[in-house]
Amino acid sequence: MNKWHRIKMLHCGLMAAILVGCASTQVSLETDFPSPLVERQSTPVALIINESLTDFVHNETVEKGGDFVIEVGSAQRALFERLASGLFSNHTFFESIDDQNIAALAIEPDIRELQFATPEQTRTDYYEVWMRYEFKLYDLERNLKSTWSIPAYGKANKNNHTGKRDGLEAAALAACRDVMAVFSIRFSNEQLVADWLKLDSPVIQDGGE
Amino acid sequence: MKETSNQVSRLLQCVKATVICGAVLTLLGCVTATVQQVRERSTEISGGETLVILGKRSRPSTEETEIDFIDCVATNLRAKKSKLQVLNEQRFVDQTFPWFEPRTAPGNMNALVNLLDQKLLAERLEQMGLKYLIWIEGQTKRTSSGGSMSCGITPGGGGCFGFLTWENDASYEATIWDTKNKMVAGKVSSDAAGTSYMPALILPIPLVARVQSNACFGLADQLDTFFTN
Repeated sequence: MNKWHRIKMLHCGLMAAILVGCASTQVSLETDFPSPLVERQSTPVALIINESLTDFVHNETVEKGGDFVIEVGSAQRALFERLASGLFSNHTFFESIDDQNIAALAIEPDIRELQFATPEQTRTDYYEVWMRYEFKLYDLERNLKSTWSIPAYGKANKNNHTGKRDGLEAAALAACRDVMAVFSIRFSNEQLVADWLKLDSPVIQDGGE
Repeated sequence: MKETSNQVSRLLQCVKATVICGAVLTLLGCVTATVQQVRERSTEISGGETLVILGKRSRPSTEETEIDFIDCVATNLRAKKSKLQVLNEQRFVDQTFPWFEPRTAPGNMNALVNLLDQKLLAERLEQMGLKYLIWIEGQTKRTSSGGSMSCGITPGGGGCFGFLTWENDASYEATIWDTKNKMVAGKVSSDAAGTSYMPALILPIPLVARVQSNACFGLADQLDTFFTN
């Protein structure tokens, strides 16, 4: 191999390194979740899994950190299917609250916000992901009655993962599990939810036929 | 013929170099390890009863025990003569979801007692035959480092020159909860420290002190003794 060939190869190597360094970090959650081990609710519930939830993608450019694309939407259907199978004994899925076949109290989850941090930004050992879920609670006539907001948090130690993609994926997964944990444990205790569940069996006035 | 003998002599040289490097690694990668145990209750584990080793990840603690350390202790404990049935951490957390997540995991024995009021969870733990729950806290940290190394690459070749040294300190504590008697059975701790070196003369040669592995082996040995003696 002559000198010029070597220089050319060195150039190619450097260019490849620069291109890899500039590439965006793409995180995609495609995983399964456990089913919660809690007492099942007997009230029939309709779960609205719409496109804004399943297509949720967070894009951010971090100074000196590159572009980040975090696709958490891809895991939401699996998340809510598992959650519902453990928490509700009678549930149905719909894609829109406008579906005329909905004949039960309806819950429409949505991700309102996602933030993340890398160890380089926080000078810690952790990748962190924060998400804010919003659950719209509808009555039997599909009127919005209230909104339940749940913040979720997940972190992953950089020493347990190889690179930004793995670390952020683990942190996002932990945040998804966190929202499932909070939802399944607090569902039966949350006053807002208790009031909403009462809408399934309206009080019949005395003397009413 | 001559070519073959040259190849054999080269191979022998390689083997010799490997043996020398191995010996150097063994000599220089020294680790000092200490294991301690505090027993609060007698322990007994019979066939069909299981235990699980969990890394403490409950909040607000900002420190997490490394996943591979937990795996290492569990794997080593399973491999002991006593053949303790150690459940897989992730499978246990999934099967008891959402009660052992960072936000919900019991932080002390009283919290576990309250958690066992959850009928479904208590039944699941019974099905698993869970008798002991072992929480591991701690980390391996770099306590000091020194030296310098510079590497260069030219069209004619490349190489490194210099000397690096660093010291790692591993400190772990295992707290053993007896889930049947609802009491703390005891604590086992394992500490290890060691210095690693990396001299470089064209090629860097890492002489790594296996601090975390030593802490893991020490902890697994002591936990085995805790349950069998």
